[in-house]
Amino acid sequence: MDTEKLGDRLRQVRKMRGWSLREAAEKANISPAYLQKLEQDRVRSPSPNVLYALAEQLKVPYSELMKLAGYVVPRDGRSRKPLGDNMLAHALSSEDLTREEAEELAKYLAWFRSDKGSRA
Amino acid sequence: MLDDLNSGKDIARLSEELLSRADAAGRWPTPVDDLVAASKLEVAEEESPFSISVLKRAPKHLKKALAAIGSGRIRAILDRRERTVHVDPGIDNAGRRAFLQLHEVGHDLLPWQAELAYADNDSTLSPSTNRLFEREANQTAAELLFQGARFAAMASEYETGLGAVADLKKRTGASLRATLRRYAEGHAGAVCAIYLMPSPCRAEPTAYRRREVSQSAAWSRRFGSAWPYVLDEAAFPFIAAIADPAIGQDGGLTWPDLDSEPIPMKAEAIKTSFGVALLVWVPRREVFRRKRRLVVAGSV
Repeated sequence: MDTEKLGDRLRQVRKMRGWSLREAAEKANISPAYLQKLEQDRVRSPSPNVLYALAEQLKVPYSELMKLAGYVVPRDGRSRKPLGDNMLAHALSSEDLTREEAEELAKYLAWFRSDKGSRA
Repeated sequence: MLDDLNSGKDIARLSEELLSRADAAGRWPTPVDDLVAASKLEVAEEESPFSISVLKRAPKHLKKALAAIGSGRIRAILDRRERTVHVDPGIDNAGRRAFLQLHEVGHDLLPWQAELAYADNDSTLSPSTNRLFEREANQTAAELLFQGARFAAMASEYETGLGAVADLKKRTGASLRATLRRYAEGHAGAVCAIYLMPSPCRAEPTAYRRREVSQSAAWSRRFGSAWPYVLDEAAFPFIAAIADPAIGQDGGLTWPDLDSEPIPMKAEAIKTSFGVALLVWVPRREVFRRKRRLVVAGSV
């Protein structure tokens, strides 16, 4: 997880907005101490809901913070979007799938969507 | 204990807002269709990715890949772009289907999950984030189905026991498994619900493999929360209530607390399709506005 970059980015944007730690923390509904820890990369697994609140307030793309936190990761290069299959375009209730199984399922769902569209 | 998620408060707040938007708060069984509609989602009634006719039309390589995943592992799918929920038609338990629909509603309701649908095609979630999002969706489904604190208030009208759980299951429209879990987690007394495998794995002493455990905060404070993978009758005497219900009621059952003091216990068991459900609790004086004493009978 590249938390150093996450902390740097949060501090950089907060300062760009001219906000103190307390001001930014209040807007995101978290404690100033927690925000300080985030900026110093001392939080091992920052919660996605907190990153979302910070992204909303600091006006930075949430997906960027999720990538910096290591929660959103690049797909395996060999299997990238042959059918425009965005793996984040669906959510599942399932047992743990392997990366390969999840990729295949995404392809199947992309095919299902296009098949349905062509039959409508 | 209720799932200890950092997002727990946000999940409770967002669930309460949806219950209000759907005018569902206080209506039992929980109107799942109204919650789905208030989320501006649809449950696919006809063709779905699970349909045999659809699978037959799929390109050969995709058919092969899906066969390798195996049936039953994917229970429900939320198509964020089509705003459609698909539930495996092979799941015929109405309570289970309701939970799965609300699980998918949860994936859509939590903005920190839904927002990622618009991330680029070259990205995916890390496995640990996937697992976190699954737990969050499960907790959202439970918050919606059991309507936050309203379920615990309703459950407090009953004398503790599996009969109460069976009746609450009917009133809420949830599955027995989900109801038992919520019942134990939200109980004010020291209560623990244990799901065991359907048959013993050993005899003398009788032992069962554990599937899952849910317990109240009072139970955790008094007995801790460490459970071995195999529970045998010698160390866990309440196992005996599976074969002999009388032992669980007036059989002088005791179990040591964290101070090694033997504490009197009651236990009830019922066989279900998921396994043996065992409810264990410390008896206490219960005061009811409306006392509901229900006796559990047979299997569910």
